[in-house]
Amino acid sequence: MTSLTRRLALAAGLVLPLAALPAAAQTVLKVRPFGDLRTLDPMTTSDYMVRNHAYMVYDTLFAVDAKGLIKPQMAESFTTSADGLTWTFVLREGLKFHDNTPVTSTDVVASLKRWGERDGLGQQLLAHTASLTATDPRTITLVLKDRWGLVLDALGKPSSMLPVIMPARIAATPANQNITDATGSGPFMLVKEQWSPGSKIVYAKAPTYQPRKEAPDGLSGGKLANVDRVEWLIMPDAQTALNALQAGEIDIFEEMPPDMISLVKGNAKITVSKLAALQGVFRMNQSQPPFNNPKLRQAMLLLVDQEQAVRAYVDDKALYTVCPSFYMCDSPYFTDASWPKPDLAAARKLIAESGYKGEKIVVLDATETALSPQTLVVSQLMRDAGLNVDYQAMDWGTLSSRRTSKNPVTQGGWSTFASGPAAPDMTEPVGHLALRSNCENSWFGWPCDEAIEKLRAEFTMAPDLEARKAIARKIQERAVETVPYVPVGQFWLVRGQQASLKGLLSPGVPVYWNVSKSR
Amino acid sequence: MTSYVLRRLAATIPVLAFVGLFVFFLLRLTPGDPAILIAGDQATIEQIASVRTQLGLDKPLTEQLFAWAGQLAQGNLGRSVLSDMEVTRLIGMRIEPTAMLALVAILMALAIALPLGTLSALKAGSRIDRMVMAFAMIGFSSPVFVVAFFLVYVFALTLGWFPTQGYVPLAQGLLPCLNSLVLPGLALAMLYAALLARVTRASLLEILAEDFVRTAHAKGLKPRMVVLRHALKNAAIPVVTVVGVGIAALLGGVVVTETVFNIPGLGRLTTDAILRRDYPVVQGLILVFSLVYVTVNLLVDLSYVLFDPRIRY
Amino acid sequence: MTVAGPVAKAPSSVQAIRRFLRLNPTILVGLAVLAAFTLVALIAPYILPDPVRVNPIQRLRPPGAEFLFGTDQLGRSTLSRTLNGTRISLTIGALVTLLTVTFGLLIGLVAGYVRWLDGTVMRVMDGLMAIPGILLAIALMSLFGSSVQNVVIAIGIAEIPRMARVVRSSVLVLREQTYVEAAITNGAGLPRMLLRHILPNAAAPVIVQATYVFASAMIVESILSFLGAGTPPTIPSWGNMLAEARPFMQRAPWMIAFPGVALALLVLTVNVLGDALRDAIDPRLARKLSV
Repeated sequence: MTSLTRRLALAAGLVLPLAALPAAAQTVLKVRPFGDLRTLDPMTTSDYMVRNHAYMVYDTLFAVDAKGLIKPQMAESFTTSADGLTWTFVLREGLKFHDNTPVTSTDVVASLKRWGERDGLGQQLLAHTASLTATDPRTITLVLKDRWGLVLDALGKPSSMLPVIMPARIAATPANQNITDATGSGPFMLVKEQWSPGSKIVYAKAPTYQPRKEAPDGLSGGKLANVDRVEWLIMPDAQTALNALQAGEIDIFEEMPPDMISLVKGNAKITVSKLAALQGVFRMNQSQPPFNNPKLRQAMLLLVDQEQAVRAYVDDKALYTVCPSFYMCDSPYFTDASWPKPDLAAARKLIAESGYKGEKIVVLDATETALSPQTLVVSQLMRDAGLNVDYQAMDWGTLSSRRTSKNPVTQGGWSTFASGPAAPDMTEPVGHLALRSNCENSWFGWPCDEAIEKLRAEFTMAPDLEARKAIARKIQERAVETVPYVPVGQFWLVRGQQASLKGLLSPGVPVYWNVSKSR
Repeated sequence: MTSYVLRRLAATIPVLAFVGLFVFFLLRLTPGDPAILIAGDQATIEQIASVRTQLGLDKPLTEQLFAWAGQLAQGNLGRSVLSDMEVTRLIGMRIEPTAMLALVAILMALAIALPLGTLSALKAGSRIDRMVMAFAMIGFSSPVFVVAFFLVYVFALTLGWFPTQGYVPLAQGLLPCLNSLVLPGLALAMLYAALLARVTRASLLEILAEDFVRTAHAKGLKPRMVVLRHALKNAAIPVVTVVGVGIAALLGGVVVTETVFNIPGLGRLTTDAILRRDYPVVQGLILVFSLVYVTVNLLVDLSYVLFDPRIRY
Repeated sequence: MTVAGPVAKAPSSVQAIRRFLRLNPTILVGLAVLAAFTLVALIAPYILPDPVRVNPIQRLRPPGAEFLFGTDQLGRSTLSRTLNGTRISLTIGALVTLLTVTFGLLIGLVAGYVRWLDGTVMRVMDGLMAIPGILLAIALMSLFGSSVQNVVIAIGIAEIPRMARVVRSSVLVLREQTYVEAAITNGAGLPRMLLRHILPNAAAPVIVQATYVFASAMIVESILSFLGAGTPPTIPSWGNMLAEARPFMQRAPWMIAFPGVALALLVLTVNVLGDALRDAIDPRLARKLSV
């Protein structure tokens, strides 16, 4: 309330009834999340808002620390047999779900089995699994059919879909049906009666939560809820959110457009920090002409100047990286092997060699997304190179439907779209969303290449990091020829926050444990 | 009178039926469906298909239509396919902000337009009249969101008198609630006030020229009394009509205002639901909007009796 | 409505128009401003740089010697976009008006003249009117997809019912007139009847309503684009420019100022013109107003 009305209210003798303000005596962290929560099931959707919700209410067996190493989270310890086939996990003592029932190994087994039906890495894990059983209330035994190097990577997967642990009764929901009960064992619990879809999501501190003793480290370590409530206030309009941040009506503004940074620079009450890194992905439809022609895709790789593309969205050098690689630049698997320099003349030459005859190229652009400026720049480059671009603007809802079509462009099909997967999904070859080249089963655009798939399988069996790096390099060398997609630059999403907040973490996923706010 | 009301009510049924059918088919023809959005960015085509089956979206259109109509007959608007919440409950949560916003806007518009319009009519042709009419013309010609942004910039960001966004529910007190509605109400009232001021002026001018007003003058009644007692009452009919007709424009303005000021009302619920193809929610909302429109216009017609005793139904 | 008026007395049409404009200077000024906008719309594409061409290197430049109106977030010239936007807005306004008048006349005449169709047709129109216009347009835009043509259709569909009502009520009044009844008794056919007697006399309210449709279409386009359901973002419509400028309101105010002022000026012109036309065409009202 502003001072003017407060004075008016006092003058009129109107004192607010305290009962009507449950939050008055509590600390409430007000967050403007980047999107809206559409469903509560973290195992059926890869939507990042659902993933972020999952980090609020659930916990995982393992988690990634700041260095990218997998650390036990709900697990107290684990052992591996000498042949590497039998894994035993022991749960920490005293873990409880929000309904006050203890977390048991049965819950873990049921949750992992449900997750393994839907998640890509989970499916691989289950495919290599001979048995997954609850040996005693706190012990889970996993027996593999063959050696598989990614058990911990799977169980400590940092981004969607998360292998979260939920009560067995909820995990019994078939994997093709959404759960509606958000009971978990995480640091916060959902206040479902106050959830107003499209407007507000409310979390309360979970009294049942048992944090680890360690300090928070990346997504691992102690997750202490230091505020009583977290409210996610949905504000689709960025300018509205900026106004609210400036007026102190919200504490955190996720995905603040980078162009707004300069507006709050002089404001001592507001700071800006990095939220999450993305890789811009310009995807081509390989099931239809003209991009079924690898030469033309190679031409696209030569054509795109990442610097120019990414600067259409953000022009602060600290917030973007021109990265000559399919992997994130800070990934241990980063390599610039065989990467071509942008070269318009060479691209033109390749286009001519490819036999391109002016076929229509349908560019889909979801204009409300961060990738829209990049799409505009790439379209411009394509036109300059003599490609026949049919640019079609739409909302993300339409785009995400259009891109499922394998029809020719004359029958509602498409040629390209852009998306921005988060860093954890673009770091290593197996989890890499856009490098996968397993034809029908790959991401929209359907790249198909046996050589890459063989290398990805080898990667999971590789004995150590060096061997993995070598394979990752080979995959890139091959992918530069098959061009499953064109990276259009890596950039940081930023968040604006009240400078008075203490302990806000930046592990690459927005998480709200550890942060505290003075009353 | 009663039979008139009943006849009018009966006449609204085909209108609402048409609206229901129209919206149903409009949405189903729209590309994109909620299954894809629920399944997420990285879902495969099979995953999307399974979500679609789960939601019943793979059934033939007619079957879906009958299922919906059957529910509707029992007063059940169905469930949101995205949040799985009952549509009636979702709408219920959002009615208060919209109703309060519309009410505040209408009252503000009347408070601005009636005095200005009357003044303008009494001083027809003067500089005041021209200024009021110019103001009305500008209010009439400015997009709501431009007005809204201007108001936020001046009164919220610069002067800090009012919040920049959000809605404080009535349950937290009337004053904080009204305080949160001052700027959105004003933004929304602009267009409406402009329209009302023009109509008030025009109808007053017309009435002032009529015989009974001249008679009242001749009888030696004070000019102010003439205006208040006779003219304004008679000018009320066109004004009330505009209030009724304007409700459609107002509902449209609500959509924009709620977006700019982040008010969790029906307007934002509708745009969100359209963009996410949440069919049951859009269908329910459009029905509610139509019902409001039809009801308000019925009330407007009935109110004529109040203002003009010559009218009988 | 009386037939006798300043227009009816004039001997030839050219002279009549001259006289009409001399009597109504507001209309003359309004038409002149409108003509200026049209001229800009016609020549802008030939004298200015490509309004669509992006160049991120020169983004967000303030107005200056190189870019008179500055540049936007993608490095496009605001001057070029604003002037080229005139054509988009005028086109949308004109086409929506054309669409609305055509279908409004058709539907209104049918409903007003063919009694047995009246009920059904007007219930459908009521139904369309009961859906708030903006929401209807948003829903239609997500059905059709984003393009100028679809914006015209979506806004048109939302505007037609009101026009149909105006036409219908004029027809209902006119068909009671003695000269129309006389013509019917004399065996005049329906088309002839409509063309010769009904249409010319229904013209005044239609023209006035049309100017409001014209103005409102341009505003609705800007609102649709603001909500992200308007013209494709590559097209330099004022609505798009305003929508894109919003996050830059504080950082690059020129982005919102130029298209904003242009839009307000054009809409204002059309509205003033509409008012003046109403006063001029409807002598009954004009006489009352001059009391």
